[in-house]
Amino acid sequence: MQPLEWALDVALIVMRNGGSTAMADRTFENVLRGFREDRVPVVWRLDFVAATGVAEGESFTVLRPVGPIGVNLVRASEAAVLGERVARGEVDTAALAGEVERINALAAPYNRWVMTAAAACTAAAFSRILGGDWGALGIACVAAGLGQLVRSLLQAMKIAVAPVTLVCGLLSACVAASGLRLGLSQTASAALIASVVYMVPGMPLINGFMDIVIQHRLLVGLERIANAVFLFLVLTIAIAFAQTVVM
Amino acid sequence: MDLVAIAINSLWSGLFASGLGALLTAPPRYAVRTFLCGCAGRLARDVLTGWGVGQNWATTVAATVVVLVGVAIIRERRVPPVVLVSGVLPLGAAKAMFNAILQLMRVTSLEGEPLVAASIALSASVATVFTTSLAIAMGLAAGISAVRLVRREKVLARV
Repeated sequence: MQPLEWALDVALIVMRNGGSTAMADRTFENVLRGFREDRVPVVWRLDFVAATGVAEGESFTVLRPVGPIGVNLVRASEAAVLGERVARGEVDTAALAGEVERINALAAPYNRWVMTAAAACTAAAFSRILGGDWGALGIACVAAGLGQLVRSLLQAMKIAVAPVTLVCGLLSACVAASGLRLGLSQTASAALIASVVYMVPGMPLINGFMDIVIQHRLLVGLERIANAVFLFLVLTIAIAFAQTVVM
Repeated sequence: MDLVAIAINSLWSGLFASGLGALLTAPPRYAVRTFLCGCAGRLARDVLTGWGVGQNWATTVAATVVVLVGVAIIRERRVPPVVLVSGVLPLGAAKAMFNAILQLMRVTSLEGEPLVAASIALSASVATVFTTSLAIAMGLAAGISAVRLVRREKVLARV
């Protein structure tokens, strides 16, 4: 039973940190191969993962809850690399638990201020892609920067994704709407949408479509898409609120 | 075809992809590569649409270009997914998604002619989101399959 549990533990790091289902499945298979175990049926979902194996003539199912899903692709990549190392026989059972702990403890490669600058930069660029003027660029830059700063503070308090998205979306959209009310830009939609773009769930949306179209994993794909649509809805409510109240 | 506008848009897309890469925790060594992938994808899509290719086909080809550029500039056995994801996100339909949800909120309170107009706008936005996301997924898959095929042939040639 143990190799199956180890394989699930490593694959779950991929799922919990924003990796694709294909990547998690490949990692799971690699770890099993490293322990000379055959491929077993596995069900991938965003709330739990279940794998079924056979030991001493009896079948058993191992079930692991996925828990909150964040984004740390460094961890996801490290888990995938660990799977490959296990498959090549470079990591033994004694070292595997330590490796899993090490990967789970990996911090994001950037501090709060770099993330704030990245969000500001992303929003500024997106406002121009949407056809915004230079005023919209400035507004989006400031609004997204402030929003990301508050977001990182809220994330450090371990608050769930949806409330964080709502609070930061409201803050960014209200700052952007205030700038528009002051007449700093004539391209309102570009400034408003760009101000919250740093929280847009583009990755789950693309992963969801990849799951359905390429991997033929309908359930997990639909879960990812529904999750992304829900976060889009939260952001749209934030924009609509700012438009109604501030502008 | 306005080449200057296309070039400028590509640069903004590269910057967008690079910033997004950092937000998605891409390591610093991938910042320039993410920038190049974002640039290349948008450039490919704008040039193709300028030549009269449909938006969805252009997006599919652009997503494939992102994979190929990623493979060309990252001399590792596997291109990190964060680079590919950040590279294709500038091709996404974020604006159409926001429009779709805004229209969805509006249609519940409208009647008569405005309701018909809002419903048409809603279906158009939903269709754009669906086809664009699908086009990106297909393009990524095509690019990844092409790379796997070439690499397998290289390995076979060595044997």
